[in-house]
Amino acid sequence: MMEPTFRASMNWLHTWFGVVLGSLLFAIFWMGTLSVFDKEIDRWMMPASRLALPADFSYEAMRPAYQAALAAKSPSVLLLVPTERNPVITALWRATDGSFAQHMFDPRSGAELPDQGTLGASRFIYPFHYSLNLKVLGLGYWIVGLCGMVMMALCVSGVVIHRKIFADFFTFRPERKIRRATLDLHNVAGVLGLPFHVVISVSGLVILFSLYFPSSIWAVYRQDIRLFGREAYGSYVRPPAKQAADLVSFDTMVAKAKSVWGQGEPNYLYVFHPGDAAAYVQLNRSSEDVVSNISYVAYVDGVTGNLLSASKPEKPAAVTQRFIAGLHFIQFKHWTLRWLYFGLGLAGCVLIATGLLFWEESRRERHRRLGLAGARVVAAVMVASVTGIMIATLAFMVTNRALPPGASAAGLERGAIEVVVFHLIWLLTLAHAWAFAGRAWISQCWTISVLAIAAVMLNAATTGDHLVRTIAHRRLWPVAGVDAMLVISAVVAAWTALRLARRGQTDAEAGA
Amino acid sequence: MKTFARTALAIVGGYLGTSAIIAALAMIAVAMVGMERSEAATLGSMLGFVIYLGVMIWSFAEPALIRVTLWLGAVTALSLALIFLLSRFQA
Amino acid sequence: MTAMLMLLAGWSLLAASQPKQFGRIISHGHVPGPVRIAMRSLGAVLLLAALVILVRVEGGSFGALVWACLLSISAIAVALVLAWLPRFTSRA
Repeated sequence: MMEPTFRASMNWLHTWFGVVLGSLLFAIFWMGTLSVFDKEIDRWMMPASRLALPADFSYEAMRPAYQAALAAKSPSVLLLVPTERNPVITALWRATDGSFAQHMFDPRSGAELPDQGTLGASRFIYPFHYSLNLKVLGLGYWIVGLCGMVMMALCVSGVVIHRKIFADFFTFRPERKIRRATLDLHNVAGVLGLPFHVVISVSGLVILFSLYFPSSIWAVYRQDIRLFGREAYGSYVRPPAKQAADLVSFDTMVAKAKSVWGQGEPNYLYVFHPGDAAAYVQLNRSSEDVVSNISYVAYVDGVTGNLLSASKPEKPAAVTQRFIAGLHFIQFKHWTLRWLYFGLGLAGCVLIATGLLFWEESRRERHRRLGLAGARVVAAVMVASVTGIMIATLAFMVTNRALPPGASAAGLERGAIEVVVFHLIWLLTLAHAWAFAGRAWISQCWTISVLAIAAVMLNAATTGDHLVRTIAHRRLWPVAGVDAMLVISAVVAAWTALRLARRGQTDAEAGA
Repeated sequence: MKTFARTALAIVGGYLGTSAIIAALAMIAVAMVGMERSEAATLGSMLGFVIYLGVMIWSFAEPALIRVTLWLGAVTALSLALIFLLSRFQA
Repeated sequence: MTAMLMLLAGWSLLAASQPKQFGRIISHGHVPGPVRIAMRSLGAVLLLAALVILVRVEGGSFGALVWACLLSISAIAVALVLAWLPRFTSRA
């Protein structure tokens, strides 16, 4: 592989890193793009959470959630404040057997909402994006991390090998042969979206800087490593007193925090040592009014409501890290920007998919001549990586609406069944693509179309929130958005299937 | 199998080398420039991604594999030496 | 407001692109030198103007971020329109 020139070596890097990791990269970008609207997909998958945020929300409504965690004897409980996009009180705590519990409560009455029996987007799609849901040894994080680095290397090498980058800036010729058209689209998506692809990759990595590059932290802190959190983020810790005590009014605690912040609302309350005399609460100011994912925390005594400590990162490196992280987390309240990120994410998916397709098309002749058996497997993997994962995702959503509440099978809870269906269907698309090599793309496009419409119809059937109704009620707009996207996807998939079929026909007639 | 060796060197060797470099840089920042510990640690870590990208690209661009091995090894060794020396003088 | 800016950024990219893509829109058209420079200058100015307006409306970081995203999205939109334009103009 000793390539003589820089361009040749970058060509090799781009081709092989792209081919080997392309499938994973597509999965990460696909799940990431969907995660832009994870909270909206949550509303779609958890009908009981399709609530309106009360204008006069009282923080005291969070007490029943706190008490539930107290009853479960959890050492701490994270209480998420309801927002427009997530209009429920979410409580996370640890049960005595060590497992995590997540429960939703009505924002007005504080009453617990019925278990929706699903992981939804925020607990399946979003974690898949940053960890592939591979928890063993944190392996998923490292694979995604490597993919992030490789994505940047692919961007750099892609620019190097692009011959007439400025002359071909807007060049996309869909009327040409499929190889040329695919490459054109790959270049357009890549070059025109380059700032996004690079920034989204590096910002994603920077979020987990302490996981991926801890050596600088170790070297500077050595045995005082626990001080890093305190010095960087002002975290406060104190042990429990082992004496029972009630938690002061939630409104009191929030008022105290707000007096420190000046303006702003909390986005979560983290109660440590619930029910204890030494209980304390960490309140974090919502950063939805800024780009940065900056955290301004106030620690309040749980029994008296007095301020214990408050801090926000103000030193340059920490502030920069939060800003870069904010560019990726996009927790700000800005609908235009959210839709722009969604669009650019889709461009990234198109970039990766066309890259894989171009490589496959380029090698098709050579592989056919050589009669390589592996070529068929590789082609099948490509189909499964793109349309396959889309079908699996839609199957996940369809299953969510099709299963009755409280369903279980073979010892699996409802949420687990949805996950199993996702993976099984994904595997099936691989098998299908291998078996029906010629028509795989077209059949899978049609499947996407059918599943997307099925999802919309099942939502209407099981919840009564059909498109006309959801557009009319503001609190149901997230559902309308998801349904609308599903309908658009169905149309695009069908159009693609038809175009592929027509092109297949003309190619066959031309004796290609 | 030169390809495999180069790839392994770029990904694994590059990662370890980068980690050594940023650790050394962070310690230098604290010892010589008087930067705060948490700042140096965070900055070093963030720089790691940029440095690692550069190392990765260069590992494939440099035609002679031996040169990649030697340079990466040398810079890593130098970084480790700096870390050792600075840790002696720190506390 | 933001819609107008999107048009600004998009249109300007279109203007900046016409020198090369001219041939696709007006079959075998050729852009004379001074016209090309004027088009590109105007395109660049429009892009920057969009940034200025966005920063003024949204504030520094949001403005710049929206501009950066719009730049890419509108460029892609222009490329897609140019891709299918010959199909429409050839019928004329």
